[in-house]
Amino acid sequence: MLTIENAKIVTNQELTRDYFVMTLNCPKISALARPGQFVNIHVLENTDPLLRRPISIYDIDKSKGTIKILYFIKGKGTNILKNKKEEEILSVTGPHGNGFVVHPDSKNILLVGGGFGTAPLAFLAKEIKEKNIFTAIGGRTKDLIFCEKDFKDSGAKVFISTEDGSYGEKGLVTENIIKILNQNKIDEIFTVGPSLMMKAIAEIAKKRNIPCHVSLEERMACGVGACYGCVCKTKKGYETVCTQGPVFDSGELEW
Amino acid sequence: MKLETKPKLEVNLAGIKMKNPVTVASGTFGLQHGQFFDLSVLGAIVPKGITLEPKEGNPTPRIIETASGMLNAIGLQNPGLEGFIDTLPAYEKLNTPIIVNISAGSAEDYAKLAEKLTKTGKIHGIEINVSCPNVKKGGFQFGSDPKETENIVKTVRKATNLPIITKLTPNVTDITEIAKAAESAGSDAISLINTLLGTSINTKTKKFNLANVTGGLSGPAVKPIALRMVWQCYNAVKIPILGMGGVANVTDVIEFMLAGATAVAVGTYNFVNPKVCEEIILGLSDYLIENKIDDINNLIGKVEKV
Repeated sequence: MLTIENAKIVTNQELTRDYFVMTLNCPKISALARPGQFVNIHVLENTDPLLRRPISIYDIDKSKGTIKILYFIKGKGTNILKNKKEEEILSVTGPHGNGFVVHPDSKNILLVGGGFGTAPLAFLAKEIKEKNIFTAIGGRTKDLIFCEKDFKDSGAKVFISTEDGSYGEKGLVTENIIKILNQNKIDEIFTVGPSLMMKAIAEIAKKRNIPCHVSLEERMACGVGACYGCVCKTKKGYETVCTQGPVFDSGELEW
Repeated sequence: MKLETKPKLEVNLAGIKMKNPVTVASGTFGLQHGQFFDLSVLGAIVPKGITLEPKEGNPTPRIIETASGMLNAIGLQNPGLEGFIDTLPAYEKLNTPIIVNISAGSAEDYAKLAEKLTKTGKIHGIEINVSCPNVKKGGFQFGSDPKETENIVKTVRKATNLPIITKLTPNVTDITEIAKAAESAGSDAISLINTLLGTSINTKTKKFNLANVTGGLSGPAVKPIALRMVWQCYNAVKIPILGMGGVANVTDVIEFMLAGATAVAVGTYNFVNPKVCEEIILGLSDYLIENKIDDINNLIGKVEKV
């Protein structure tokens, strides 16, 4: 069920260069949101930029009626968003999308996040604390490793790699994944990040016969499954990322 | 002094009785919007356009934002006639006229669609899409040729007694020529405009932003063009007009009606504000009261030269 709210900005802070965390007061969305879902934000009461910006939900606080998002300054829309001040109002719709579904029988879960793709996974980790969680985080440099503390707070074992070796292991996140998989019996993998990274994870998962769920990002228009603008190719044909996704079983995708 | 009465919002679009002039443009709206407001407030509902057989649509990426607008090249992805008919009961519950937008690669297939839809007994009008810019067959190659338009409308006319609305493309030199062809072939109304053919390039990758290379431009950016074309057609034909193109608020609806539209469809703006139709419908009454207009029909075509 979707809802539309005029959300008051509680905080909007720069985390590191070009990456921001915003807290929004939207009690209806906060009450309904599950990990892996996203909100669609209208950044300006104007027509340029015209469309809403889909952004993953990073955290919720139902008691306060708030949600948190972690966003990256990518273009016109997010550039406006970063200059928004506390107390300003944004029109927000959500929660959109299917979200992550963890199989009840799965005990050992591997979360793989690239860059700020860790945000929705941190929300997932918080919701599945009773499981045995392994988290692999990858980024180009130390300052692009996000949500480490969130995962640790949820009791996850965290493995970090950076491309330049400035933090954790030097190299790609996939190298850490192979180590984790060699030493542990993983029941399910959830991954969010650049598509090349997710494809590599999906390939590894396929070889080892482990169910792998990926969260896709696409340009969106309606956000409700009506316009077919954001589709991705699956074995069943083109499916909408906004409603049939954004989370797909990697084996279902033709990418 | 005249008593304060609720102004009349009802309009009659070629026999389709609408409780207000506001409807939606095909492909921009679905039953999903019922999560945001009660869809029965709409003057009519136009589901996403259909073809006889299911259609996969174009490769991705299919959309790109532009200044105050967007380009789309969806390519009519739809579940086909049978798939659509399965969803009809849900549309029927809305208690508002259902206008079905149809596309095909030949006049015969347009007629087949019209005939089968008519037989359901559940729909109130047929919008003939001869103006999709994103399909190779059956798109605006038909709608940019008066003879082809005439042939399709004539063939559909024989297949249905429901009101026919022919949806016109703006991608022509003279839209009134196509409007006249549709009228003479028996179309009960015309709708305009479909999207304007355009493109967009990514300067980093030096590639087109759309897999289809070109797409249809929509949104507030196109409104002045749409308005001009509605005015031209209003002066060229006698049949009523369903106006659309960049409609975003009450003022836009009034402008289209003054230019000659009997009803107005909201398209791309449904993406921006999923409740915009409801807000416009509520705002229309306020506008009429403020301006002491007792019947919205009094606005149709009433624009004057400065």
